[in-house]
Amino acid sequence: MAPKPNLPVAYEIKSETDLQRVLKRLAECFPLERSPASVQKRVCLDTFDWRLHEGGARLTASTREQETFLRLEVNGGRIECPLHGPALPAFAWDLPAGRLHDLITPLIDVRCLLQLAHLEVREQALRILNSDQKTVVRLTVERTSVTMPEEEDRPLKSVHPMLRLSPVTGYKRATRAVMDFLESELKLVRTRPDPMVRALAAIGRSPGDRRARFTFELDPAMRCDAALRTIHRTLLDTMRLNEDGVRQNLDSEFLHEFRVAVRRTRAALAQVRGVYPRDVVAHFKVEFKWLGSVTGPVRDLDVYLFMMDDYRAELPEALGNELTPLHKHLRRHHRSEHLQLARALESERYQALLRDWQQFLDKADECDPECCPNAARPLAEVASKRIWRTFRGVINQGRAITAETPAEALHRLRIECKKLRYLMEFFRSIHDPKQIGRLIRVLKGLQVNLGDFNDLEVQQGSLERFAIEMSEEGEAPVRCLMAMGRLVDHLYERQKTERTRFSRCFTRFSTSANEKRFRRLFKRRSSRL
Amino acid sequence: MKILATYNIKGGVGKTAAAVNLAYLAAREGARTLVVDLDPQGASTFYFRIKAKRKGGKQLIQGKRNIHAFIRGTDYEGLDLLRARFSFRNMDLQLSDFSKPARRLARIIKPLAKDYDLIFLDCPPSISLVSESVFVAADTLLVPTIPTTLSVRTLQQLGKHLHGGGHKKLQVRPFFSMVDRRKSLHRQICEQPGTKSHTFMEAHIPYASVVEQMGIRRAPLATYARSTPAARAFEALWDEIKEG
Repeated sequence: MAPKPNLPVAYEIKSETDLQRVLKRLAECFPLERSPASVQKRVCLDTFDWRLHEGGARLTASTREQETFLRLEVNGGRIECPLHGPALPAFAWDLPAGRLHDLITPLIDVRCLLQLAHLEVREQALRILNSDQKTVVRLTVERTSVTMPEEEDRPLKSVHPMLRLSPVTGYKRATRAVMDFLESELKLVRTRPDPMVRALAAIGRSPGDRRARFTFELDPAMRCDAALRTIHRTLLDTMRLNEDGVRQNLDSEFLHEFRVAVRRTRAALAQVRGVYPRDVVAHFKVEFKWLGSVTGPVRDLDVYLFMMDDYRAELPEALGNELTPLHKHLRRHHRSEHLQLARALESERYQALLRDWQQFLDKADECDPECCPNAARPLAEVASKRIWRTFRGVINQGRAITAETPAEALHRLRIECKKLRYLMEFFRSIHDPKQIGRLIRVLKGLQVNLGDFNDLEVQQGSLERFAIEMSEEGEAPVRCLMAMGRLVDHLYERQKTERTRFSRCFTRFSTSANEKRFRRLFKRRSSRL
Repeated sequence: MKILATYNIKGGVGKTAAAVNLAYLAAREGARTLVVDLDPQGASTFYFRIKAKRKGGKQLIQGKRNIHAFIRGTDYEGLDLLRARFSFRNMDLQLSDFSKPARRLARIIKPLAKDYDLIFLDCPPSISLVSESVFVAADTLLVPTIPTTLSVRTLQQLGKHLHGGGHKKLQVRPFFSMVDRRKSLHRQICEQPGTKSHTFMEAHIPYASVVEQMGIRRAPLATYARSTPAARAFEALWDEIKEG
């Protein structure tokens, strides 16, 4: 078994005076060699939702001798890679080929790299030597100043100096001795060794602070209206969080998460009935439906742009290359649709929607039980009943589907499954996490089949629509149309396969064991309460 | 993980200088690098200011101790050393205790794959069971060759041996080492090596006192004589090796 990696240890030092005292004492007690200090400007990069940090990686860009370098620190190792030009990469596919690219790509996927902060790091390397003048412990004094990327003109904010100790493999005794000295003699306290996190804390940022949240901490006994407001407030926060990224079109995930929040808001409004006043529900249902529809076209185009590689791979190589005009068409339409979307987000209707919705959610008064019969009822009662009913609906609809049933019935079932899934996820925290998690997984299996069946149909329709649009715009070479036609055939074949798989997927979902599990979790609970 | 071995049947041709300097350059670029000092003389161990041990070779070969326990960090980040043992002089005998002795070294090194991107095997001179193990374990054999008639002849002998011994996958990459441009024979052989079976790499390592000073400085060349022709030659050699 491999030994534990030599993880660095860091000590935060309160002031420059304290630091000088520590260095003096170290030099008195250990053979210490100091290297000249170097100053480096670094830009911290990560995605909006800190995917690199969550994957244990740290990415910075710095300039040395007029060349810009990316430095990735991961698993205790470090990889440097020069960039061709001063522009920083925005996406994984902008990174130069190599190990750095291969390590970052699965972590950030389609998200763009944002500049989190600009650092000025003054580093001095110290080495503790043995009698052969060999380094046995590495120390680094790090003085960091930080600014927000958009506030580079402002004075830098200083972070407390840090002393970092990096053990050298095979010199445990020496490492222990230095650590004991720092901790017992000099009373230094260990801190997070990640300078980026410390620096970002100085400007009020912390890992995961911009992550979209789709989980809700609820209490089974709480009033239903309070619970629903908590859900809606969290979703509204997610919309606001992603709004700017959508407006700037930084990456496709901003819009995706924004739309997920809109969709869930609508589902919670429609599915948990008798909690809010009817007129409120009716008004906001219309408004959020509008928001869903104005954000739809860009999302669709995002998806088709991502699909282009798959489409090319599905066709013979020569024909796959003929799809370039389609790719251009999608990109052009994406630009114009995004303009319209940005306009919609600036519109009075959108501003009023968010403002009114926030006002309604923040209202302290409870909903009137006269017009909202479920408002004052305990959450567990309403939630379980609703989930159980929706589950029964899914089972009944699914059982009625045979090989001859029109595709429309499968689409209706897909939507019913979606409602069930949202309800289970909204109220996940008031049920046994293991049991509900298992049932969500089971439901997901069926949803994948129904989702694929629907996607394949939508794609066929969209490709036909794109072909017509391209012809009308005079940019449809015959070979491209032929390739698109072949693609539609492929998609149709795949859709047929999904259709034949349906009965197997549904049978797996609707087993009596699963039904018992749903009953145990939702039916009994709702009748008991 | 890629394994590169600096090897020559002859001694004193610059194997250790090549292993130490190339490994340093690789680590400087961020590759997690290990030098395995297989030579009981422990020259690369000495260059890295690490004390070679007398005993322990048998434990390593027999796998009785975790291989990580044999590794020491050098003065350079990302560059470690599996230090030499004087008992490596008996490695031939220890290997012969195994049913497939030539495969033993590869098996010992295998667990290091997740910890290192590159391993440099600094081999002792000779052709023996140890060198057979190196031929099996390594992906590339870097052969420093002094531009003399006998050295080139030795390289040809090595080529024939490898070809006959079933090491066809092993990439053999000779390069001229300790080149003294004042000697006409050196110049002549560098231009026309007189062997068709091997293509020499473009970079030549010159005969230079800065390289010999590694023994006094006990450090890779690039740390104390970065802009010298010898240091640049190692950089050019490393670039060529990376290109494959």
